[in-house]
Amino acid sequence: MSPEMIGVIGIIILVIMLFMRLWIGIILAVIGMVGYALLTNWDRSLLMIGTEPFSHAATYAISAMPLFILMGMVVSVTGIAGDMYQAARNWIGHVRGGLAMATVIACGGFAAVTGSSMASTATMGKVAYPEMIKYKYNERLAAGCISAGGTVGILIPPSIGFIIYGLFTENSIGKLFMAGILPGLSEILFYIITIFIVCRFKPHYGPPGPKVVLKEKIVSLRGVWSIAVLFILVIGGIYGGFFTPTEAGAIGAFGAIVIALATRRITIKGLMRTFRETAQTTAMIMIMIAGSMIFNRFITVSKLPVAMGDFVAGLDVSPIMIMAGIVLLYLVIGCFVDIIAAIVLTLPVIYPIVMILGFDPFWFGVIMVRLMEVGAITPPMGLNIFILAKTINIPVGTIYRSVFPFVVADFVNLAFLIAFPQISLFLVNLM
Amino acid sequence: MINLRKAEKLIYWISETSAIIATVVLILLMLITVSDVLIRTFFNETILGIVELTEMMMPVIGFLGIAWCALQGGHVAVDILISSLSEGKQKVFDILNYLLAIVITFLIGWHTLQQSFFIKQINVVTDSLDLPKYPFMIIAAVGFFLMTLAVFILLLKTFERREH
Repeated sequence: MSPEMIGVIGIIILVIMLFMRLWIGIILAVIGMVGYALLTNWDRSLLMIGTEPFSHAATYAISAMPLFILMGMVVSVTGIAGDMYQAARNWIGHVRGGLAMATVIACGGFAAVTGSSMASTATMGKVAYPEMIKYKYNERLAAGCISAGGTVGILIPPSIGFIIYGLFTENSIGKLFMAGILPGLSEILFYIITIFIVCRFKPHYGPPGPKVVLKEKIVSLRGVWSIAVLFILVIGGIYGGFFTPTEAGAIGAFGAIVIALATRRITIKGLMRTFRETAQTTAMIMIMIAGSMIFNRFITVSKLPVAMGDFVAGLDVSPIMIMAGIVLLYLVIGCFVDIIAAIVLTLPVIYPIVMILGFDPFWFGVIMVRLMEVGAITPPMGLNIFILAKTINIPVGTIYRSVFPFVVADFVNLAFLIAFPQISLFLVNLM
Repeated sequence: MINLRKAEKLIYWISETSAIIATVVLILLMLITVSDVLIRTFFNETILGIVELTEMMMPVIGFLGIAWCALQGGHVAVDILISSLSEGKQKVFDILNYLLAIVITFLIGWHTLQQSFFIKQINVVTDSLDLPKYPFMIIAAVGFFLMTLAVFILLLKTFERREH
């Protein structure tokens, strides 16, 4: 059997085992070890599994990951989500659909800082949903904007997804962060336009909220300015070349802890809990990275990426058609697996092909992450949808229908991002 | 059976303590990195060897928590198909999962340990601080061994539930 064939069989077994509810990091490591042994020998394979996890963990770039996770964990327990919503609501709540627009903005802002679309969905479900229902918003619009809003976070830095992507593809994490900013903002804009259009045709879906005087508007910013300043410091520092992503993560986490303690938004007990949760999330990602690096070695010796690259290059179709196939693949994957798992599962095989096709690695990172976000709000999985259904106690089916206009917006947004790579690359090229 | 309970408690305790050590190291990493940025900004100096310190801290932060994560049910899996099966059938997949995890984490731990002995012999150190790398590799190996034990406990629990 040719090495390439063994590689293909390895991938097929991976897909089968994936649906057997086995831990992703573990199956990647097992298949990687066995496949590598078949292609070389057992001694070399065992040596490889003894070196790969350590050597990929002991790198400087990877340290940005736990630091940003810590920052996100601390911010998410401070109750700042509620303040963000109040501030956004006070500024734009009085226009038609304004409360829904405020929800998208607050969701995006919160998810951006915490990096967790699930935490954002759950918190906004508790804060923004009752408010919208109180002002006679249609429940579908209210639920839809919360589910969709949470997905913005992973594009806007600091993004754990981009850190992992950068580690795997050896691209600058700082530049990847910058690549995500404009696409993330464009996503928020597209959602706001969607709400505007929905309310234009069905004004009773989002009646105007209460008007708020200027003084109150300014006062409402008090709860959010400190985190906003921290966010600008962290991202601005990376953009200006003052910090590495690791340093930015350390400053972000330290700043978040100081702000949370100084404003008494967190207790020492709460802080200890966030520390433990950070260790747990970091471990969860590290085991997937270790597994994927082992799997990657197997795929590399199978020469499958080269063979697939040759195959793809020899095809008589334009690269954009192949990209369309990859887009479809990620949309499907996004429905089943969370973003970080999907990155570690697919990159060893997909990334070399994308490079052979001549696409920009930063642009592809944005498209890939964006695609899987769409997956997070589409059936049959849609993690955000399950969480929201649980939080606000309405049927999953209703929420699936409620996100439909937002999924349409996502596709239009995606088409824009694919057609105009400049949106993703503008800030990268300025660095 | 009593001894098994004790062993279980002990493994829980060790796993949690390791995760706490991982967090303490993370906090340390945060503090030295922030200090380095401040020193650089105000005094134009830098902490010697901060990059390699960070590199050696990362396996500790990353791998000392994996056993605790397993005990907390934190590792990622796709349960869309399996969750619709009967409880008995689900258990079969759980057992398979735990067995695979026990084997691979033990093998990774064992061979990481072997490697650490090797790099000790040939005296592999970091670039500017001359820190020996092998102790950090041993810690990584310990993380994997702990996960083997933790998953073994999870496996035993699956059988226990079946007996009830």
